[in-house]
Amino acid sequence: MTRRARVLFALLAPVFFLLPRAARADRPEVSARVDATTVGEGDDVHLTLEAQSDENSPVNPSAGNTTGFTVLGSSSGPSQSVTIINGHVSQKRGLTTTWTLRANKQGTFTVGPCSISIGGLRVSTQTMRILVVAPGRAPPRVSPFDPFGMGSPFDPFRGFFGGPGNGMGNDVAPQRPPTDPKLTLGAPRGEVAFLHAIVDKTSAVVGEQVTLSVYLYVNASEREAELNDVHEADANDFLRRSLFEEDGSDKNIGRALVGGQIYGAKLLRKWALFPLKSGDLEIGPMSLSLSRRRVADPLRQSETITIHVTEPPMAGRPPGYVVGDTGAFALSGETTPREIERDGAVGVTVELSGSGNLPSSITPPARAGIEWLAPETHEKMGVVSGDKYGGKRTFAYVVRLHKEGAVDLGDLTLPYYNPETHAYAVARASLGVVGVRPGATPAPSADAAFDPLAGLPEARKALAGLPPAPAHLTDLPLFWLGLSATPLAYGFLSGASSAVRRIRRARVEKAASPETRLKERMADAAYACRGSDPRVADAAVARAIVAATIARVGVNIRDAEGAEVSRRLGDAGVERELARRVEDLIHDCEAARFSPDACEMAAVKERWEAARGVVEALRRGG
Amino acid sequence: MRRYFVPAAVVVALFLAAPPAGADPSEEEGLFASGTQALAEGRPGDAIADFEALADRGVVDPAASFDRGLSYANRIRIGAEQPGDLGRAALGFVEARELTKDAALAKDAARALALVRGEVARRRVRAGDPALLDQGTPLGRTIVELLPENAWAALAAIGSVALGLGLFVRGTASRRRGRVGASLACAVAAPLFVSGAVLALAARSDRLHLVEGIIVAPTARPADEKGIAIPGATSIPEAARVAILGERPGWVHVRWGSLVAWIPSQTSRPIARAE
Repeated sequence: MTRRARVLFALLAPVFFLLPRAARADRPEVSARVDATTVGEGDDVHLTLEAQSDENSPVNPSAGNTTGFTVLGSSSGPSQSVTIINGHVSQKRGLTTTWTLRANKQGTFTVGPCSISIGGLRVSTQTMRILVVAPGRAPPRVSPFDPFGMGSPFDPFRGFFGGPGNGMGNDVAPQRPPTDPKLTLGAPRGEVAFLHAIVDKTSAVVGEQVTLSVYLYVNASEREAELNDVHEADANDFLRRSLFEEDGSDKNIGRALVGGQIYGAKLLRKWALFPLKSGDLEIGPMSLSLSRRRVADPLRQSETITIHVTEPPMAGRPPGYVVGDTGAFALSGETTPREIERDGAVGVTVELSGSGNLPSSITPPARAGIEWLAPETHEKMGVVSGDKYGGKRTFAYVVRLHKEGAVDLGDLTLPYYNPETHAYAVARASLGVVGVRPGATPAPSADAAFDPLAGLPEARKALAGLPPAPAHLTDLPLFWLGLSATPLAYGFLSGASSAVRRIRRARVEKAASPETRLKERMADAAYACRGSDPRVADAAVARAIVAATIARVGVNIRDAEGAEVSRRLGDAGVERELARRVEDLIHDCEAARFSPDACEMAAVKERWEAARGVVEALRRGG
Repeated sequence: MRRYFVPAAVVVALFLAAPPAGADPSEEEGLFASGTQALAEGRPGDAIADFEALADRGVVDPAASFDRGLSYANRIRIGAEQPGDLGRAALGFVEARELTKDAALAKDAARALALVRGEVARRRVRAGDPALLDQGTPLGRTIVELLPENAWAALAAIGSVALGLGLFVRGTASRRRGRVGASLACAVAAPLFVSGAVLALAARSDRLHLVEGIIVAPTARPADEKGIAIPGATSIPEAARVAILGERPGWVHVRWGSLVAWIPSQTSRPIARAE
């Protein structure tokens, strides 16, 4: 080692040793826990957040979401520890905060994530789920002073002198058998026993596995129920594969707390369901009957579940992808032998493996002179890992080669969509090249085989694009307006002209009518009677009476004198009395009009009132 | 402030110039180039995958449809035929013929379509089935298709103007000869106006609502609305053109000549349209 190298090593060595320590130094330790995951309504639960850091003191703790609970209070305690290992001194500062929460209502609630600031950074914990059941139904909590469940340290005889109510103040509830919190339910779905179905997801893409589990819960205090008339869940829009080795078998999976009571839980069915199409697809209920006489309604049904299914995204979809090929697939292929004669055959074994709904067929690469015969298929499908369905399918092809030379069989490809990575991928297997020697029989000439599609034109080398969309006249509202404009205009004009003519005619007819004339005469008479010339007024009243006889009874008495007036009116059916009144009024008006001495206007007005009575009487029909 | 203006303007311009989401011309051209290359190299299976991927992306292009048809036809030619390939080839050629304004492409597509349909007919005859692929178009649609939609609209417009003028002259002319001439004009223009308008409307309705498809399975067996095969009904042959009247999950309601029936949805594919 040269002197320069020694100096460089001396300078860099501390850096190499210090770097990992520096990287470790800032890593805070934060955790949160609750003292019970199942509590009764109104019970208290303690949420504890513990944080430790090498350098900075944790500050400003927060409980996060506490929906469903009331925060009764909190307490915090700082801590500090010093450790010396191999002469290295490390110091840790910590903070422990405990919140007391009171459960307000029943249900399953998510608490947290708790968070705390360390060195300016906010560090969060995981969320926690707490089941709140009916008051008094929660399982007893293990005492913090008895972490091993050995009983109270103050009871060395461990209940030898009696359990609860032994009168010694040791009122401890009897220990329940352990239950699986994952199977816990808020309330039973039926008396004695019930079915409960769950899926691992409620939305999926076409072909993605949805795992359906159907459980049978039986009250532990009851004897084993006999089941009959079992109907499987209806899942017609899914491809169904059992995740049990034997479909129809069941598994006892433990005990569960349901509404505060202990139930035995049995897994009746576990299916991998692969959606066949998009949409809201329904999984119907599984049903069975309990053969117990004392159960009123023995029918038990699981829930109906709806799965929202979509197609995988179009973006990034590889050519050749078939909707439904969803999962994680791998392809491998083997070709034997690699050297044959023309028109001979090679064996190609293709193994498709992976998880998901493996396609039942693979399209071989189509190439001239290579004839793929229908494959022989073997499969070994089942549970591959966890609840995932999968396995492998083997396709054994016989491939006949009809051309000579080095024949490339090409690649087998299978595009698929992986729902876990939300991305497309292509499983690929290269089949390699086969050397084909000339065969014993001569190669068939090009004319020998009949090719009905021999005259096909050449392919196009570039996208042509669409011609601009033509404008369509019929899409324009103006066109339809214009189209109907001329006939409509003619119709409108002829109608208007006809209407004008009709109005004019009506107006002329109306102007010449006796009734109109009567109204005019009556108005004239009324006007004249309000004036000061009695002769003019009498003349107007007489004309009004004449107009009334014409309008009402159709008799013109203008040229009639004396009794002729009564006679004409009588002939027209007017009562004698009324006819006489008309005659008298006419006579009075004429007499006053032609009298050398002008009469008073008051007398004229009296005649006018009488004339109005006569006109009214004539209107009523005389 | 001014120094930020230019970069901001560039960003805004780039944003405005960006193609709308979903349209990726380079990807489409890449797929097309890959497909044509596969076709040229005698790998019709790969070419089909590329051209179908183009169609899945909503690309409607006469050249892509034509090459897709050729890919299916070539798969038949090399002996790797899959059921329905003839129908799918026919579909590509029909689309190319109807989408293009290029006379050469239309001619080539028509020629290729004739070859494919001829092969279908030949196979049907060998199988003892009737060779007829088309059962004819209803008279009404035949008349509608005699002229383009705009031609019917123009005839209706001419009829309308002539009718209006005739009526006006008839109403105002004082001489008998003028009134007779106007009446004759009305008698000719009125049917022209009405029939032109009705046929223009029918053509518009076809353009907007008529969906046609091609049978892409060796046969499509007609069924009633319950999915039960209609006894005695002729199976619709591969490559036949049908009018699609409706759909329901798994089934398509079609009209083929005088036959109106339900067929399984995977046995037909709609013809892509430019609009």
